[in-house]
Amino acid sequence: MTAAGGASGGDARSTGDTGVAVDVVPSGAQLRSLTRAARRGHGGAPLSQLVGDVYTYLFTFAVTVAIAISGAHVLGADFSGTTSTSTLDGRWLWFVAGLTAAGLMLGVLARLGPIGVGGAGALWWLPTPVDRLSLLRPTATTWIAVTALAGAIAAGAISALTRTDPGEIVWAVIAGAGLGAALAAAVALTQTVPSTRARVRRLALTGDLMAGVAVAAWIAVGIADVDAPVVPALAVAVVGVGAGVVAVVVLLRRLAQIPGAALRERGARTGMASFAVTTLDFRELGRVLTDPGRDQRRRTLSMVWVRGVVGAITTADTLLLLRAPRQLVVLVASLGLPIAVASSGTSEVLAALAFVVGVYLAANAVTAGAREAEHAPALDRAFGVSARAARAIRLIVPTIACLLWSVVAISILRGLDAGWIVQLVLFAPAIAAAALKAAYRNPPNWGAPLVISPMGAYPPGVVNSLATGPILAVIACLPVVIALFVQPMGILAIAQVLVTGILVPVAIHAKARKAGKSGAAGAFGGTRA
Amino acid sequence: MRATSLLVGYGESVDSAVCPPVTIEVPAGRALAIVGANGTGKSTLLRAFVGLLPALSGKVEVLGREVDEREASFRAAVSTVMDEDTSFPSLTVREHLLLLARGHGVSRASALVTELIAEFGLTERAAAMPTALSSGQRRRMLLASAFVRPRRVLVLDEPEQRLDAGMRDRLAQRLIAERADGVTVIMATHDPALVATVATEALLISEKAARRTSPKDAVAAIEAL
Repeated sequence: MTAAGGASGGDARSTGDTGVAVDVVPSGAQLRSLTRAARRGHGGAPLSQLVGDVYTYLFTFAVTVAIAISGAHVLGADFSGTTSTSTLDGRWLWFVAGLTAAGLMLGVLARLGPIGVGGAGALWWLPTPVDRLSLLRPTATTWIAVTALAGAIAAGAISALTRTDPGEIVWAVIAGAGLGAALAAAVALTQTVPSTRARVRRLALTGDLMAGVAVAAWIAVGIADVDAPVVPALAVAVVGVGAGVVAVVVLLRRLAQIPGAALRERGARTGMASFAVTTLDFRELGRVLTDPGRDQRRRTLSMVWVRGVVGAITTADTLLLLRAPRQLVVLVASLGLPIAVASSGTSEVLAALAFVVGVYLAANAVTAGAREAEHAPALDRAFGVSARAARAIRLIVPTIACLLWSVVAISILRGLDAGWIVQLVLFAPAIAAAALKAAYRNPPNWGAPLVISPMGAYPPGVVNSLATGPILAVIACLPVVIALFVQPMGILAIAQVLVTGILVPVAIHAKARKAGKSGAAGAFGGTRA
Repeated sequence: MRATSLLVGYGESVDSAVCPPVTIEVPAGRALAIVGANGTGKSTLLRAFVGLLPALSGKVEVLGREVDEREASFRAAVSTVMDEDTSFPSLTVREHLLLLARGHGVSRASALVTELIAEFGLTERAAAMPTALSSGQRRRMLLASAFVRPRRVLVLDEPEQRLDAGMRDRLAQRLIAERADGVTVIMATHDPALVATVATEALLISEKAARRTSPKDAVAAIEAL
């Protein structure tokens, strides 16, 4: 037997009967130091490059907002008003936002594990006879602490929004922390029994549906103007803390029962998600969080309606949307955002901002097909149309979805008339184009010298890659946002035509490949295969 | 398909070339096998043939036009199976094939898909999602994808990968039929049987040279590796 790589550092090990010489085993601290040194070795790009990119995009964003404000002023807008549709009983916000937050957390926790051992841990720790409980306890406590903190922040924010007194806010924070911890522990407990991918998927779907139902209920109670039941904040806090303590105690006793296979699989997933977050790659994060269990058999459709490439690509995009409940939930939830903000009687400016954020979230949710095609370009190449045409076809589903989204949102926020319909018909391709451009954006170049920052190592151009979609979305929304303040008018329709006319060609443009832009350098200067 | 003094690699200058320059022409109805040891640049060369990697120098023409993989005419004519597992997310095996066939306007799409699913041994898995398939079954699905659509040029990167012996034989028969139908077949392979039965000519790549040779010599070279 070989002395397996334990963590203790500094001691030479005998090799047993394998004949493999083992030198001094580094300690954990030494390993982290080596990793930092390797990262520095791959660095070289100045931090100012990252800061410069951030500055450029913040400046662009500020200029765009300034254009919107001055344009609206010229057209006679008044920014001092509050939304006139303030019908929502603030106490409903508690129930609805709490349920939404719990649903979103459940969805993420179920998809990521939460308990897992990835990378080196999966390779070195799990095969050893080390006590599993002590191995997993730090991971479990970290997750519980993170979800407790997230719950506390969410509950505190919701409570502050409903303008309750300070005492109630404190109880809300305590309740949120307890319920957050209880949720993480409960999901982790489901890992202690052997579980199929389908079960994990159902659990994640339950979270998605909770969020979707909450938003639908939000809109319903807002429209119906129903009084919310009165629940003492103290009682909620007691229940939350009680549930948290019980769930955590049970989890810590059963932690060792989580099967190794589940730990490896979830650990790998969590690792990918962590990497996506630390590198700010939210497109990759979306892929990681998309259904762990898409492997079931399905009733196969005959596709008889598909005639040619337009039908084929739009069918693929539509089915991807309809068969991914998470995207549908995001679509519905994003619609609830501007409606809820407007219903809570806040300022018109915040309501307009919520509209921009909501419609961009919706556009992103319905461009999953384009993101997959960017990830696997063979999907677009498989058809007999040019790259540009394939991207143009991939605009169809997002455009229709964004048009429907905007029509519903505006009909609730402002009331729909012919002017709005014209404005929104012109607007939908622009916001879809912004999301499409974000989906097809070039990935950052990890082969170039990295920018080493206190937050980690980033490839040059990461800000450019990240900001492309949002900045285009803000530009796409410019005329509509002004119309939100002053009502649609001819000049805004013309402005929208100009904006859409610029954004759509930008989004569907496919660059030619350049030498030296793909693959990694290998022996003899190139990668061989 | 014609390559003229084609030099490929992943850098920006000719110094980063991964194999010697290649000049070769493969007419319609012929099958070229590219053979060589691991790391001699076979797949890199194929990527350049289909426009996924720009040439460091020289040029590639397909159907009389310089390769630009973004063009509709190129995409309509060239069917590829490279070293990547790609399928439409959220579609079953049968739906994936149907969508490709109907997207290319294939008449009798349903019947063709049924035939291909049977030929590639996927009948029992036709309603499964690709993520539920074994790696060998996914390879079969990708190969079926290449044959479900119209094509004039077929480019395959080690098509024998992950296939069992029976499936390799059926693939060889299918490729012979393709050749007979006038399709240009270009494949990188390590399988001597595939070279012997399918190829009409071969390109043998080593670190020193890339030379055209007969399938018989290519088989001998593979066996000597």
